[in-house]
Amino acid sequence: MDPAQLYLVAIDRDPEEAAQIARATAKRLENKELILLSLTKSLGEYLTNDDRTVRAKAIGFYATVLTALPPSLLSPAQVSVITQFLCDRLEDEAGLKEVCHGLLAIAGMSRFQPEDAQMVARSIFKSCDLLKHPQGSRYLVYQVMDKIMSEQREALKRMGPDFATGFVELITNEKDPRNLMIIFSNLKVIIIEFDIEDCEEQVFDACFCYFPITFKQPPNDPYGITAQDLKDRLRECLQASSKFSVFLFPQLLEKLDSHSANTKKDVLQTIKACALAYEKSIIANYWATLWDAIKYEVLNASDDDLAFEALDAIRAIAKSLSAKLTTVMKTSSLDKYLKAVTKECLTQLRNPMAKQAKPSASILAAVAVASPVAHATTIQAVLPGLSTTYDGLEEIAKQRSMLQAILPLFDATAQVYGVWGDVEYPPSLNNSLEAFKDNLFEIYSRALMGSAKEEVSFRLAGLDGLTKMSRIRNFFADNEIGLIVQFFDEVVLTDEKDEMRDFALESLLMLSRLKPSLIMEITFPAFMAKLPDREEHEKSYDMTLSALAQLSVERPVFQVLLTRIFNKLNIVLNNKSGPGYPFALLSSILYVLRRKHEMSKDISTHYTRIVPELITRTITPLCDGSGGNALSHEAVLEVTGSIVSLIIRAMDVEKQAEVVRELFKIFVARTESAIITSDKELVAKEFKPLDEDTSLQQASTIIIFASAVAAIRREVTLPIESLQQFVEKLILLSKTPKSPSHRRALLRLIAVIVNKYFTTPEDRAFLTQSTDELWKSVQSDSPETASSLPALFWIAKALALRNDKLADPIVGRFLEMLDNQALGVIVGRGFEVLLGDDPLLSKENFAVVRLLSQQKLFVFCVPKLVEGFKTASPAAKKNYLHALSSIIRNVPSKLVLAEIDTLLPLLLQSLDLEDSEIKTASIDTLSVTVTEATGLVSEHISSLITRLLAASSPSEVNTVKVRTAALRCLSIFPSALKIDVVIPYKRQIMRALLKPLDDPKRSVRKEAVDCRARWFALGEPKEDD
Amino acid sequence: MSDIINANPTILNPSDLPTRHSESRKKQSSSAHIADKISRLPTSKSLLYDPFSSSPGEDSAYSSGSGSDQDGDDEDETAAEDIDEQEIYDLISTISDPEHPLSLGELAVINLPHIHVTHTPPTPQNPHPMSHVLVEITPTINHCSLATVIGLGVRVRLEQALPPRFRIDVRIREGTHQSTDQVNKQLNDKERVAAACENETLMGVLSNMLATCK
Repeated sequence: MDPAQLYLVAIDRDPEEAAQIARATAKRLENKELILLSLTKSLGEYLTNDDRTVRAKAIGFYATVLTALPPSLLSPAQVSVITQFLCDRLEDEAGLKEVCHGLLAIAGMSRFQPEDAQMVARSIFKSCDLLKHPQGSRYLVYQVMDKIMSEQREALKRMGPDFATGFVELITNEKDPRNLMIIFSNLKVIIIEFDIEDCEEQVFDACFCYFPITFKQPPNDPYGITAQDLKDRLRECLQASSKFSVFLFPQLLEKLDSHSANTKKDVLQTIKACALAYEKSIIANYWATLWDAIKYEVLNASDDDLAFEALDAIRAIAKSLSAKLTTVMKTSSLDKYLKAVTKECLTQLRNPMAKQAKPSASILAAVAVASPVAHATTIQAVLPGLSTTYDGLEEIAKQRSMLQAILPLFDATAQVYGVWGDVEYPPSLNNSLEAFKDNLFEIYSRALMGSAKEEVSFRLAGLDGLTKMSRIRNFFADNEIGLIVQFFDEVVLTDEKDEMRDFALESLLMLSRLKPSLIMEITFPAFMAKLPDREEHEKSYDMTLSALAQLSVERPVFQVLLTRIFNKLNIVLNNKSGPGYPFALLSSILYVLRRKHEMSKDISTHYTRIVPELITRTITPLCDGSGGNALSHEAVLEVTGSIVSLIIRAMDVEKQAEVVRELFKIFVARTESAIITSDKELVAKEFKPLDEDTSLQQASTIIIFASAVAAIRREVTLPIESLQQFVEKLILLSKTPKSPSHRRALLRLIAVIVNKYFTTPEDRAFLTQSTDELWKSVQSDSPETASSLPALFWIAKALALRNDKLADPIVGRFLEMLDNQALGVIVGRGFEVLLGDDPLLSKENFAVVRLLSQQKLFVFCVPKLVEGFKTASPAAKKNYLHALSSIIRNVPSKLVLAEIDTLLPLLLQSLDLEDSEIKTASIDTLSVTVTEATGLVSEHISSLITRLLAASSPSEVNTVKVRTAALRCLSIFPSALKIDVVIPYKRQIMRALLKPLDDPKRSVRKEAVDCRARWFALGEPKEDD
Repeated sequence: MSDIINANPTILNPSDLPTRHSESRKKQSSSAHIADKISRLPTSKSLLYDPFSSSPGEDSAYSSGSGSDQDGDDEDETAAEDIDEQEIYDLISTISDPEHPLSLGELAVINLPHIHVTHTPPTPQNPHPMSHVLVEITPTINHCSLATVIGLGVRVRLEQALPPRFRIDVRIREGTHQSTDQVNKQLNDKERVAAACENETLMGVLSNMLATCK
C-alpha cells in the first residue's frame, strides 16, 4: 500500500500512528527514497473522491508530511509547485484547514519566494469565503496571512492597494475574539507599513466597525482574552495613522453622546491615545471640536471616573500641541487651545462656589502639567484673573472656594518643576508661577494666620496652599519657607482646633523630609521652649511632646531630640518633679524608637546614647540613701525597661552577650560595670536589688533588668554560674515581694528563663522538683500558702507557650483547686496570666511560642472546667466562670465557637455574676456568637435578651463598659437572626430600651439610640429602590 | 423627587460643624491620640493589675503618688452627663436632606444655636419633672415645600431617641418660611403626625432620611 492509503486508514483509528506514517514518508523524501512528484501524484485519486472527508484527509496527509520536512530541503521550483498546488486546493472548501496547515509549512520553507507569497495572498482573497467556515478554520487562514506577512512583507507591499482591500474583505464580519486579536495586529502592520492611500477609509472602517468593544469575557474563559486586550489592540490600529483623524474624530465624538459609561470611557481613552500618537498638525486642526465636546464631560461629570479620563484627554491634547515648543508663542496652536481652555475656566471660576468651579480648576491643572510651555501659558493666562476675582470676593465661603480652586495649580507646578530634593534637572523654561509668588504667599498666609479661629476650612485652605507651594523646588527661598514653618509651629502649639493642629503637623512632617535643617533650626527650639521646666498639668506638654516625637524619626533630628530631652529631664528632676512628666519625656523617646523599628531602621546603634545614660540616671540616685527620684517610679521604670528592651532586641548575638554581661554585673554580681557612667564604685557597693532587705526602690529596678534580659536571644548564654540557683532565688523573692509590680517583674524574669533556657533533662527535673515543692507549700496550712501560686502560674505559662508536657500536671492541679474554699478565687483569676499575651514573653523577644499553644490549653481546660462547674459548690461556681472568662478573652473566637454548645449555658450564668470584667468578657463573646452561631442563640434568645436588658441598666456592677457591651450585643440581633425569631421581642425591647435612653452617661445613651433604631427598623416595609 | 426645589444650596464644610470638644479630641486627632499615649501616666489600675493581690493595686508603693488618682481609660462612672443641645444636634444633624446627598447639619437646616433644652430641677412634689426640647429648623429657601417632611423627620428621630420624659417641639424658625404657621401646626399636632406615620410612602422617604444617622 502507498503511504497515503496507509495514512487514510490509520487517521481515524489512531492519529498518532497516522502522524508516524507521515513522518516516515517525510524521512524517505529527505533520504531521496521517494520523490516529491510521485507523492503528489499518489494523492490524485483521493483528491477526486466524492467523499469530502477523504479529500480533506488526503491533503491532511500531504500537509503533515510537509510540516515534517526540514525547511531547507526543497528547491525554489519545488516550493513554487507545491504552493501552486495548495493554492489550487483552496477552491475545494472541504480541506481548508488542512490546506492551511500545508501553506503554513510551505511558507516556513527557506526557499519560499516573494512570488509565492503573493500567490498565496491572491488565492486566499479570491477563493476563501470565510463566512462558511467555523472559527478554527478561519483562525488558520488568518495565521497563514500572518505568516506570509512576516516572511515576505515586502512582496505583499508591492501588491499595492490590492492587498489591503483583499485583507479587509477577507475579514469582513469576523467576530471571534481569538481571531480579532490576530487580525488587529495584522491591520496595524498594514496601516503603518503598507500603502493604503487609495483605501484609507475602507481600512479605517474595517477597524472602527468594532468600536466600541462590548465583548464580555465569559466565565472560565479558556483563551484568556479580555475586553481590555481587544480594546488595546484596536486602539493601536486607530492611533497608527494620523490620516484616520478625518474619519475617526467626528465618529468618536458622536459616540461620546452615548449613555453607556463604558463607551464614553473608551472614546475618551482613544482620543487621548490618538492625541498623543497623531502628528501635531492634525491635532491642531481638531483641538477646537475635541475641546468643545470633552469639556462637557468634566464640567458636568456625574462620574468621577469619566471626568478623570476626560481630563487625561484634555491634557493629552495640550501635550501633543506642546511638541517642539520651547517658549510661549502667541501664534502657536497650543496657545490658541489654551486660550480657549483658560477663558472658559476663568469664566466658571468667577463664581467659585458654583458647581463648575472645582472641575474648571482640575482642567486648568490638567493642561498645566502637559509641558513647561503649557504650564507657563496657563499660569500667565489665569493667575492675574483669579487674583482680581479673589480681591473682589467678600464672603469668606467664596474666598475659601477660590483658594481651594487654585490649589491644584500648585500640585501641577510641583509636577512640572519638581519638589525639593528631586534629582532630575528642572525644565529650562522659568517657572511662571514665580511672578505671582509674593501675592500668593500673602493671600494664603492671610487666610491661615489672619482670619477668625472658627473659619477652619478657610484657614485649612491657607495652610494647604502654603504647604503645597513650599514643596515646589526653587520656588520659595529658605527664609520664606522658614516663615511658613513658623506659622505652622504656631498653629501646632496654640491652635484650638485639632484639625488645624493635625494638618499643620502633617505639613511640618513633610517639610522635615524636604528641609530638615529648617525644622531643626526653627521648630525644635520653638517646641522645646514650650516645654515647662517642672511638672504641671499634663496638657502643658503632651501635644508638644507628641509633635516633637513625630518630627524626630529622621536620624539627625532624633539625635537633637535626645540631647534636648535628656537636658530637660535633668532640669525637671532637679525641680523635684513627680513621675508624670519624666514618664512623658521618656515615652516620647520610646515612641520614636518604635516608629523607627516599624520602619525597619536599625535602632541598636542608639544603644550608646540611650541605654547607659538611662540606667545610670535611674540607679545612681538610689545608692546615696536619699530614696531616689521620679525615675524609680514603677511607671517610669516600665518605660525605661521598654526602651532598653527594644534597643537590645535589635542587637546581634555578640553585642547582646556583651551587654548582658554588663547588666549581670550591676544587678546580680554587684561589680563595677561599664554601663554605669558615674559613681561606679558606689553603685557596685550600694546597689543590691536582689537582696531580701533592699529598699523598695532598688527592688523595683528589676523591672528594667527583666525587660532587658527578656530581649536576649536564645543563643546567648546568660553569664551566671547556675541558672537553677538563680531561678530558685527569684522564686523565693517572689513570695515576699516589695510591691505587685516588683513581683510581676520577678515572675516574668523566671518565666523568660524557664521558657528560653530550661530545656535539658536536668533542667526539666529541676522544674518538676521545684514546682512540686511549690505545690507542697500551697497545700500546707501555713499563712504563705497563696504566695507560691503566682510563681506556679508563670512557670506553667512559660512551659505551656512552648507546648511542654510539664505544663499539663500544673494546669490540671489549678483546675482541681478552683473548688478550694480559700484559694479558688485566686486560682480562678490566675488563668488570666496563663493565657494572656505578655509583652516580654513574646516571639519578638525570641521566646519559644508554639503556634497552637493557646489552642492546646483551651482544649485541655474547657471540658474540665465545664465538668467541674456542674459539681462545684455554689460559692465556687464563680471561680470556674472567672477562669473560663479569662480563657475566652484570650483565645481566638473561632476556638470558642467550636465549643459554644457546652459553653453557652456557662456564659449565660456568668451574666448573673457581680463582676464587671467577667460580664464584659462574656457579653463580648456572646456578640460574636450571635452572628456566628445563630441557631444556638435563637434557642436561648429569651433568657439572653432578659439578661442583656438587665445588664444595660446602671449599677455598681453594670459599669459603662458592661452597659455599652450589652446594648451593642442587643443591636446585632435584628440583622443577625431570622426575622421570625426576633420579631416577637420587638415590643418588649423597644419599651425596655426607653430606660437606657435616659442613662446618665452620654456614650451609653448613644448606643441605646443606635440599638433602638435597629430594632425599630425591624419588620418595617422596605422601600423598593 | 423629580423637580429639585433648591438646586444650589449653600453647604457648610464638615470641619466647620459644631462638635463636642472632648469627643473630637479623642476621635479625630491622631496627634492628640499619640499625645495621650505619651503623656498619660498609666493608672494604678492598669499598671499594677495583678490577679494575685486580693484588691488590685492596693499594696502599691505609689498609690498615693501623683497620677494614680486620675482614672485612666475608665470613664468616671458616677458623674452624670445631662442631655444637652450638642447631644440633640448630634442626633439630628446627620439626618439626610430628602433632595441632596447632604446632611441637615451641612445644609445648615439644623443649627446648634437654634436648639434649646430645658431641664426642670426635680422637687419633692415632682421627683421626675418633664424636660423640654425645642428645635427650630431653617429651610434652605423660604418656599421649600419639603420643610414639613424635614420637620417630621426630625420629630420622628427625636421621639425614637429621647426618653419619654422629654416634650418635643419642632418648629420652623421665625421668618425663614412663607407658611411658617401652617407647617408648625402640622408638625406639632399629635394626630396629624400619627396619621403621617401611617403613610407608607412618607415613611419610606423618612426611613431613607434617617438611614444616615450615626
